[in-house]
Amino acid sequence: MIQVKNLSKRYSPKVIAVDDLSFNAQAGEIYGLLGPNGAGKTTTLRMLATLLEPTGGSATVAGFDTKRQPEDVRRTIGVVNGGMGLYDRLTGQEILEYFAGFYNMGKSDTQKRIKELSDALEMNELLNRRAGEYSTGMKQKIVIARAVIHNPSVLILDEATNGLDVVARRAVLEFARGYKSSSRVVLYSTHIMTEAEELCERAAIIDHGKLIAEDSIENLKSKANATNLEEAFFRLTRSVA
Amino acid sequence: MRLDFIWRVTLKELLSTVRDSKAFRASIILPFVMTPLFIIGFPLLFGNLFGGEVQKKQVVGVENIAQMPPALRTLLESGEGGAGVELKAIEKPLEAVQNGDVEAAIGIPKTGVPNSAGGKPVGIQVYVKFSSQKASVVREKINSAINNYSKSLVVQKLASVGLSPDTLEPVKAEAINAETKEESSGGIFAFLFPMFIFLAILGGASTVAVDSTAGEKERGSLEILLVSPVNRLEVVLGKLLAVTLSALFGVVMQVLAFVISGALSPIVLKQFGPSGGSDITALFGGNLNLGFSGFFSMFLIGITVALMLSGVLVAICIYARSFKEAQTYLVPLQILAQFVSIGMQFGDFITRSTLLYATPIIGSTLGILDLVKGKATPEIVAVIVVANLVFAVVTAYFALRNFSKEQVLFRN
Ligand SMILES: Nc1ncnc2c1ncn2[C@@H]1O[C@H](COP(=O)(O)OP(=O)(O)OP(=O)(O)O)[C@@H](O)[C@H]1O
Ligand SMILES: [Mg+2]
Repeated sequence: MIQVKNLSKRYSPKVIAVDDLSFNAQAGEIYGLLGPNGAGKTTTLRMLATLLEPTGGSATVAGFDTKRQPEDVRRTIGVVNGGMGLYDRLTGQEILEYFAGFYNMGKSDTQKRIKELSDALEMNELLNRRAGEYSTGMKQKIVIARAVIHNPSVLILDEATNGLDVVARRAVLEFARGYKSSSRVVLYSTHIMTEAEELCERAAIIDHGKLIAEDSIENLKSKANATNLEEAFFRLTRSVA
Repeated sequence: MRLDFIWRVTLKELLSTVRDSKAFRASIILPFVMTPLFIIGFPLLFGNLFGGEVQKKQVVGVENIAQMPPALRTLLESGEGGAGVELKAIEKPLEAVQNGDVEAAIGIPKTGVPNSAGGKPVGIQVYVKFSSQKASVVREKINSAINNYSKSLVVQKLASVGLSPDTLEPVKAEAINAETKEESSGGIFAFLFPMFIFLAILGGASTVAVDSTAGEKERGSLEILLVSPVNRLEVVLGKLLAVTLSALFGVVMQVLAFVISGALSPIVLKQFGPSGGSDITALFGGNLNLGFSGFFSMFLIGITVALMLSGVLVAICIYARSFKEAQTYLVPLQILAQFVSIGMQFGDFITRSTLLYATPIIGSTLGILDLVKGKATPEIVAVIVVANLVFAVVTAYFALRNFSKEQVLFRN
């Protein structure tokens, strides 16, 4: 569902954030995009989300080309980033309705979907309070609900558990796991290997913008002769550096 | 371009702004405090101070007081209309005034002052600080007493040879004020009117501009908005519209404050005479006797300035990474607008031309000033409005261009 082919992003002559990157994520899986700080994860995801233009290569999301069909791409994706940007003076309900409107969802569809998500994420009591009053955990619930308000077939999470406590973190992981289905793919970007090991079927490890390895979690571990993913990650990224 | 998407963005920004109760209340309250303060409060205050100075008996030093003719003394002490002055014998008039011992001083020559006309003219020195506004009152009192004394001697002399006092002045010049009502209402502080309008626009627009661009960036919500199907043109237009509407709200509040203050001022200032204190108000910027078409023109200029500045504000603010940074960027713009307005005190010396009226900010400032002074024609208003609209398109284009640049949206 996500095909990345020789993708590159050069911010300036000196800064090459993504360098000839290729990987594929299939429907029905949670795919990990792993790498240390500054590896180029966010840059890659922003190109997939049509926020940034690649300086080389191409990518398709759910069959749509990010360069030629950016709006079709945006209609099929939902994005959660670590920023947790909400409008402080709007209520959860208003925020969700605001975004639903851009997907041309009708009034009753929107209300039905908000009810559904509010039950799933246990955020009923949040909907009528302003986001400025939320705790970080509460915010993240609305952020996730907003990302999937339109039932996207591609869900992209970038450091989605940033700054969350154990309970909130668990809720995010559970949601990602639950969101996966035969017609959907979840792209999960993180530098926390335990999360990736627990969640992902397959993963791409990148460093300095380059692909270092792409395989199932099991194969990555055995390839590096490691007992867990963190060790494998450490060995794989070190061997290149 | 989907109008419903644009409107959706606009509504959300406006809702956010209205709920920012502090900023919102300030934009309503400020014009209704500042405007009456300048249009009514200052004239009231200075009118009272000035009137008080006239009623007060200032202490005036006199050198060689023994030589002062009693008739002149009476004229000085009784005054004309207002109160006279109190005379005090001194020796060094210049120092006495400089030290502040007395407010003014009179130097009577040692040889005395004549008590009849016909001899050699004698000068009486009047010591006073020229640049002091306050001293101008006592100076006027002394001058008029001396003039009246001199005149009385002439009248006596003429009578002694059987001539009437009118012999002196067979022809008189009569000055007639050719100012229109609006012109006379544009006093020395008339430049405050355009300044208030600009401040209202910037005040109303800045909060929304900063919040909806740099603010969204800082919170990280802009990125999320841009990954939804709404496109960047729609986002920019929606935000521009929101910024313009809140600027307009500021203009409406400001013009309303002008109208109300203008209507109230003759009532409050009635104590300064039957003209409703119009001399004093005129000095301070005056009543706004614009009438419907005047206010409508002012509003038209206001709308188009708001449109133009919204583009500038959005284009600048989107470049900033945070609220603070954006606010810093806006300071020079605010200073520029005020600088131009203050410079317009000398507006009468500026040669008007179509090009000048078409110049952003300067043209609109001049236009509002001309409106207040009753000098604006429909052609002038049209030039300003059209020029502002052209610039509005240009600035909107820059705002959009900045929104389409990765380096601007995702600055590191
Ligand atoms: N807008 C930008 N302009 C210039 N350089 C940038 C920009 N954004 C990112 N970079 C650089 O590109 C490289 C990759 O950054 P990126 O944010 O994609 O990494 P990341 O893997 O998401 O890191 P992290 O784990 O810290 O989030 C870094 O060296 C970063 O400094
Ligand atoms: Mg990142």
